[in-house]
Amino acid sequence: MGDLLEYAVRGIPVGCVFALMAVGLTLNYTTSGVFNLAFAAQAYASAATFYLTRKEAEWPLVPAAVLAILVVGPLIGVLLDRGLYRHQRTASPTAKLVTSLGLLVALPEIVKLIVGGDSKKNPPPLWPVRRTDDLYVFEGTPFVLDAGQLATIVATVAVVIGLSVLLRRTALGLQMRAAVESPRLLQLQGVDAERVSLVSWMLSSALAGLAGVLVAPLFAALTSLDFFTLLVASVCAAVIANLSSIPLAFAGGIGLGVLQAVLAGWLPTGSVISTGLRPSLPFVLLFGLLLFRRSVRTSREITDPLGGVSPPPPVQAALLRPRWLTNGTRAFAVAVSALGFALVFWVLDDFWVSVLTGGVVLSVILLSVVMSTGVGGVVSLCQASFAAIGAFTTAQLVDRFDLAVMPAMFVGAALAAAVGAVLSVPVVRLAGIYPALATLAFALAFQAVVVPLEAVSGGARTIAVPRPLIGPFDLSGDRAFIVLAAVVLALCSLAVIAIRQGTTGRFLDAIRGSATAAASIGIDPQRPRATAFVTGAAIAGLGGGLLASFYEQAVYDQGFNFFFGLVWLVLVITAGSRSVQAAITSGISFFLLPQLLTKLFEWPGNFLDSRENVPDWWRSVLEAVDPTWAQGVAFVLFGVGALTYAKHPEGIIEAQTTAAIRRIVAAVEGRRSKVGRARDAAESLPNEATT
Amino acid sequence: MSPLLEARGVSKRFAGIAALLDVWVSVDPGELVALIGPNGAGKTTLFNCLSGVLDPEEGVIRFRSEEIHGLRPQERARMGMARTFQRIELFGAMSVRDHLLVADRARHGGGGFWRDLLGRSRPSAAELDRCEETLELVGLVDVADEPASALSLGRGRIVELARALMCRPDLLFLDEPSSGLDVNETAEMGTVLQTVQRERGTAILLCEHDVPFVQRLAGRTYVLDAGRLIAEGPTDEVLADERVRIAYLGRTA
Repeated sequence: MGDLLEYAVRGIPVGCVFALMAVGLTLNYTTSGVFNLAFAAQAYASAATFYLTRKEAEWPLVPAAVLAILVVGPLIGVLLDRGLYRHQRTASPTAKLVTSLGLLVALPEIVKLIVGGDSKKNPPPLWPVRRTDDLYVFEGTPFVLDAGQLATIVATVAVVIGLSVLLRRTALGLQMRAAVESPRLLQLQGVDAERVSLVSWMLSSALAGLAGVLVAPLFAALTSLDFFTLLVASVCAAVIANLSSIPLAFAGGIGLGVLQAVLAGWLPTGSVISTGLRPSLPFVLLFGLLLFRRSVRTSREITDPLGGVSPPPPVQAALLRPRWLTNGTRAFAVAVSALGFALVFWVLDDFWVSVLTGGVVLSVILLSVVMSTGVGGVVSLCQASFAAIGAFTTAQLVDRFDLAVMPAMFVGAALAAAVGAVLSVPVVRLAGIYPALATLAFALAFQAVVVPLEAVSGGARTIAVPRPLIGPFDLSGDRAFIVLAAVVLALCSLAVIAIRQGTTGRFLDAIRGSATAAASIGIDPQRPRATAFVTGAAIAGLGGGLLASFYEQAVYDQGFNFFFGLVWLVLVITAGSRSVQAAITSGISFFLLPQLLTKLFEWPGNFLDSRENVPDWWRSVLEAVDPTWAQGVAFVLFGVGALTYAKHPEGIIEAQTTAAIRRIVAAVEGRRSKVGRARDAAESLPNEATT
Repeated sequence: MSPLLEARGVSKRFAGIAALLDVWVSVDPGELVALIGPNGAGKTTLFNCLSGVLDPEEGVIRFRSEEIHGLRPQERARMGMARTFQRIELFGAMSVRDHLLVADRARHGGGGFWRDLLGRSRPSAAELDRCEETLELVGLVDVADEPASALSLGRGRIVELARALMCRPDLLFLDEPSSGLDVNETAEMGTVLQTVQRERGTAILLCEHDVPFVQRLAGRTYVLDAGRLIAEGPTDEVLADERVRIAYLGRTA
């Protein structure tokens, strides 16, 4: 019992960090209607600033801490509010979530470009350390704290006191509390809700920054991916508080930290449970909360105090298209594909063929995003996990049972569909932003628990996956493999289109229009969503097997990391979540853009090598360009693209297509009516003469 | 003859406040019954209890003598109950004809996924005929291919009615069908409802504010005030009732 208490006490500092960010999330959601997942990225930005100033530039503690927490943190908050979210007042909660996902992808990459890509070992604690083993012992209590833990507790207590003084004793605090109760009433009272929103952004961003600086020393090195653990834990605490109560969010965060620490001490060491369950506790708990808390399912989304009526969904491009233009579009698609194959076989060299092949294979996985998120309306952040299931199943079946690659891929797709079916039971019942949170929790738990297992990923060993051999055709070369990938892509595309246009698609359109009305005519509001989700999982599984075969090995971090899943979702939603060509464009750009950027960034170096007399200033500019920027810049572009979602919820490609169709139809009809008008004019002449 | 729908002693509370208290309602097959009462009387709550959006804490609801407590809205819809909404609920930009097609599919539904994959989900001639028939019945033929979101509120309400009719219901709940309509649209709605009742023998339970509209259509009327049933009977008698006048116009009137 005493041991347990000791473990519990050890969990408090970590719990404090969770609590700080959970309070920020809740405060911001209630006052501005944005569930800002990008706080994880902001926490990372502050932690990186602190690292840079404190450790690399060796600033004194106070200026470094002030810059990281009180300047950089709120500054990002102000930029996001003024530059971005203020213009999304009327957007749906999903649109705001997509924006924050885009930021979550782009921000860390921007930070990495600024601070440099080298590994940042041993982040400094927010407390002067005299010696590394300098412990603070409190006699007669179970408290033994190191510098970082002491800093965390002191900072948290200070924040709690400051925040409660602000909320309880000041006019602004009163307004913020009122905004939590009833944003619209507050606005009717003539309160400047813009200012309330701005202050809450600054406050919650500072909290995220503080959490980031505090949590950083817990990791061996500063990497942006570690901050997802912090994010999910604080999301979990915020969900405990129903996204509305700040004290509950706080208590939830500390409770989670304590629970995690107690589990660490209580579970037998070395077992699968202790190595797997403990780190994934926040994910499992979040998932469980979303599963079993009825209030989460039925709670209404908070909309922005200044939000108006949401605009009607845009018409799908395909619906606007007259029949003659449909045939034209099909002819165009065939021509583009033919051109693609011509390029692959006769023009491009091996390198670019390989890049393109990767793009075509990835397009299959991205079709699953179209299926689940675009058609099914379930914002899913775990498509990469389904792809991983497909890949590892394929790899294990080939490795252990000598199964041929193609049948193994189909088994992988079936297994992914089965996992998807189980997952769909809770997920499709959730509304609003909750499916995204639940699938994110699943993806992270899958990564922490399932992926490290030897029976899945092979543990330390890398499992090779061969290219398929179909009858007499050996597909080991990229030029042969791309044909297979294109065939699979075409079949999956046809399936997605058939479902979108079929009964399931019609029912899904009805459910999206009005779930209540759909139920009133006998449509189960959940079944079609589940169908789309499971089909999406199957397609992702198939694509995952194909991707492993393309890489000729199944390595989690090479193609299936949950972060990729995030980027893919953002990409497809940006391009057009309901459209097949958007998936294909996204898939190919995911592979092509980094390579094109690499070529671009390599150019200055090559230029300098080939020339002798270049002016010094010009030389220094060109030498600063680093080809390793390419991947980061590509991710930044992909993430920033999502910011267009609020303006074009149907997607950029879909919007372009709609505009193009309107132009073509207008042009054709304009010509027709010009002829018609001329005829009318000719006919009306005699009449005018008689009158 | 046993009633088509029977609600006995239905009560529903929200946070301790009784929205419905011991309400008894019955509707016979083919009958057009009205439910009136001032704002906040609990009319929509009763509708939600009957159509399965809410479940009452007390009381029994029977449809064709079968108890339907706990059945979800979609299950009740498949049993032959359909409804419209006070705040209009249409499927966005979907065309009027597609609204009806979806409802028809939902009624005949089942086995959709594999048929979708094989591309065999296009509307059949029989389905289109059924849609056409209903479009003619309610007078929507001229706007059949328009997106429903582009129609006026009056036309939108008729689309809701047509969509409900595609379920071939035995009982139709109409939540304030005339609200937000002008005089002509209200008259048109009344004519359509009479046609539906006459030609299809559909029983209708109508929740309304417009007293002349109720007088024109309903044979029988229930009056709800503050969650209690205060009067019921033939429409003319009920409207002449002293208590009903007080509930509607206040004690001084």
